[in-house]
Amino acid sequence: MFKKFRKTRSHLQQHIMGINERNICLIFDHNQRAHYKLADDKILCKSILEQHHVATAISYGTASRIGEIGALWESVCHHDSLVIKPAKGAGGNGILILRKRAGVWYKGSQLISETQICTHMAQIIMGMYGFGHSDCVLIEECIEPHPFFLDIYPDGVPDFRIILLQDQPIMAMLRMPTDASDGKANLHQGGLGIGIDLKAGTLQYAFDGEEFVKEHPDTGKPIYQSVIPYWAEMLEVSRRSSELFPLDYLGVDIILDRDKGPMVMEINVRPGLAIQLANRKGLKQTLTSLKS
Amino acid sequence: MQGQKSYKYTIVLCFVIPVLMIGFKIWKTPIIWENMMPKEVFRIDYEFDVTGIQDQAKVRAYIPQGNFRQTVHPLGAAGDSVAFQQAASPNGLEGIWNVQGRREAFITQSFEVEGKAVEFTLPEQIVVQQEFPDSIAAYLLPSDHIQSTHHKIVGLANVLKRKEFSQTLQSNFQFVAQIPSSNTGLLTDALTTLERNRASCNGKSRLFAAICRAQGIPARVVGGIIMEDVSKRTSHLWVEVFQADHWIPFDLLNGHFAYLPAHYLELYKGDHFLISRTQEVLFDYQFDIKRQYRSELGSAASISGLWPLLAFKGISIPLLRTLLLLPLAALVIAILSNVVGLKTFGTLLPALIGLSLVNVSFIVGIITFAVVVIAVALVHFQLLKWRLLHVPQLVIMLTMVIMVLLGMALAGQVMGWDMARFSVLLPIVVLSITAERFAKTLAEEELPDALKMLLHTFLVAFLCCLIFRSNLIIGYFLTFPESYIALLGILLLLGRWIGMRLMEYHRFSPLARLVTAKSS
Repeated sequence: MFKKFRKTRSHLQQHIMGINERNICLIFDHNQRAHYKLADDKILCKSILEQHHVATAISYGTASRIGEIGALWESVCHHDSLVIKPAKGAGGNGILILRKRAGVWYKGSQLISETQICTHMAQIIMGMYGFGHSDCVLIEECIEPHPFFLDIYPDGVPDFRIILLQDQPIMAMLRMPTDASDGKANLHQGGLGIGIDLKAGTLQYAFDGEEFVKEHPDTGKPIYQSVIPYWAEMLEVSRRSSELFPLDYLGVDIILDRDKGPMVMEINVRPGLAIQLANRKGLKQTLTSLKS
Repeated sequence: MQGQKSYKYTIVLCFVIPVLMIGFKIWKTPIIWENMMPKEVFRIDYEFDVTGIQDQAKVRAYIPQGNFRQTVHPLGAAGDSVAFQQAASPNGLEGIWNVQGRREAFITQSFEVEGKAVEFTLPEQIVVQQEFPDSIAAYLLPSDHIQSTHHKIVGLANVLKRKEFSQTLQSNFQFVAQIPSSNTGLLTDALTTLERNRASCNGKSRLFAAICRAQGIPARVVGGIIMEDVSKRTSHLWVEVFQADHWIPFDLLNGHFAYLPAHYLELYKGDHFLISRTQEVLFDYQFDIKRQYRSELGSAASISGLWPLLAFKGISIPLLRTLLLLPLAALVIAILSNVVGLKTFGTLLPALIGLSLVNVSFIVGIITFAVVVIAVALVHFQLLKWRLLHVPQLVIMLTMVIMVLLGMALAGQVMGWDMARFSVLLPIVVLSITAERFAKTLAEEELPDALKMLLHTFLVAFLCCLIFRSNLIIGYFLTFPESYIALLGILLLLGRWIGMRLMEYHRFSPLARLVTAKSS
């Protein structure tokens, strides 16, 4: 029993990248602190991507002061759907997806008043989602997910995370919402983490936080070995994005739009470690096999 | 990595320097661990100002004498040189100063006193003792100011008497303690206290003694000084009751039942005056008292450590705790976070929580803390739904914290729960921040995650609290402050430690299961 415990322990130590090692050996050794803000600030990040014609969601407008909220809302409210984000938020907090039906706004299936929307923007600016610092509001187009995803699970917006080291993709996963995750694709909120075979462009096992499955737990639709549309383009767009930033270790978040194909949503300096669980493989393992 | 060499050399130095310094100190003066704890002592200066002396003047005053609960070191006299004698009697030790051949004199005499608190548990049944020895039987008899045979007092004594000894004393104590206090410095006797229903320490003590004597329990008043960091003229009077070979203390004014705090200096037994003197002179006096900390260590270790800090005016053990032990507590937090992988609200918040619970029972403190945090977090949860702006919301939280604290304190006072009473003493800002973090986590993550973080926070706070409570660790850092350099060394190592955190073994255990499944 104890021997077995030691065996699994040493196996984990050999293959898995822990948070201490990730910080020291990947983030600190490959990224300079002065460059973090290029990725952390979503508005700055998007402007870099836009300058170099990397496909990204169209920005409708930004506001950095409470006084600007009224004018910003006036200028965007004619759209049928939009997304309100804090520029410095993390973990998907503070993101509001709005759709207009019959002239009134809905947040999911809930009715939401314009006052509530403006209060939300004020909260973003006052730093509620930006670690207490004041923040900016970013309003951009709402992406309609590709039918490939709707087929597996009809709600929410799944996104790809590709981790690159020195502009080379080393690991990727697809994050997909479940009934339990309430439309969010984040792993610790109950979303699925699905591993990806980088070369074949196919989905692998899905990790639901407890175990590995081959089908979506809510719909029963097959996931394992599904061929991802636009995969080559997605790898290419992740490489191009990575080259635009002076960061050697980063995560690129990509959403597949119904009409426009892969679109870069954000760049992450501290991509999480759950991707190892989704891929049933440690980052250390991948790095050593890359070296050899 | 750049600067790898300087990093390594710095770490080596961080460990070599303290080891050499500590080794040298121990080699020069062997350290006895028990002596390393700072001791709280009081320096008390008797100061008499005698003027208008015609021929000669004499001042007598009871001076501190060591006994089972107080240790006294005479420090000698300063001021004018005056003939000084001591006279011991069963009542106490008297100092006698004789001034001759001068018109005025400034007399001082200094002592260092270390007190110890004593607490007695009263037996339920009185130990039947019909015949007391003469020295004790004397304390059953009435005296000028303790009129224990007066009919009013005998009547009262009969009313207050209970079947059991401890209950009798309880009812005597409660009766006298509830008499409204006054600040009069005048002598009040037992009967006057009863008739006026108002008295200071001396009147209450005499009445309590009189009631006890009337019930056949030997009782005497004891005079002394409550040692505080001030100059004062007021002395204090309390009572001792004889039972089963012990004199058991009771302070009626401050409500100490069968208990005497460490800072009570006993000077004399019986109903006497602390100071007596020749009447024909102008006389003024005061007791100048200073709280000090002292180590029993040899002077070599004292000087090379941080012990001289203790001589600073205004420095206290609580302040020292924070100053000296915060680095160690923070190191423990760093290890629990980076090696174990505990997730807490705020990095150093657990240290602040631990610090706030140093002087109360930890369990009780944590329960109070949890009640406040959870109650306020529930309110916060509702506030989030109403989508309030950040700053007003934060102020609502703070106000709620104070309201809950006041409510708990009031409930504690009314219901007599000791645990709830002190809740007002918890630091409001630390509570508000904890509640706010908890509520925020609750809003952003699932309930089990938030509760887990709260649990981790309390766990780390508990360990920090243990550190802050240790006088031995304070003594250690006072003696060997170079250990801080070693702390830096450990932190430098921890800062580049790339091992997996213990919690990560759990997190990635699905992958480990995969391996074992494959191999079997």
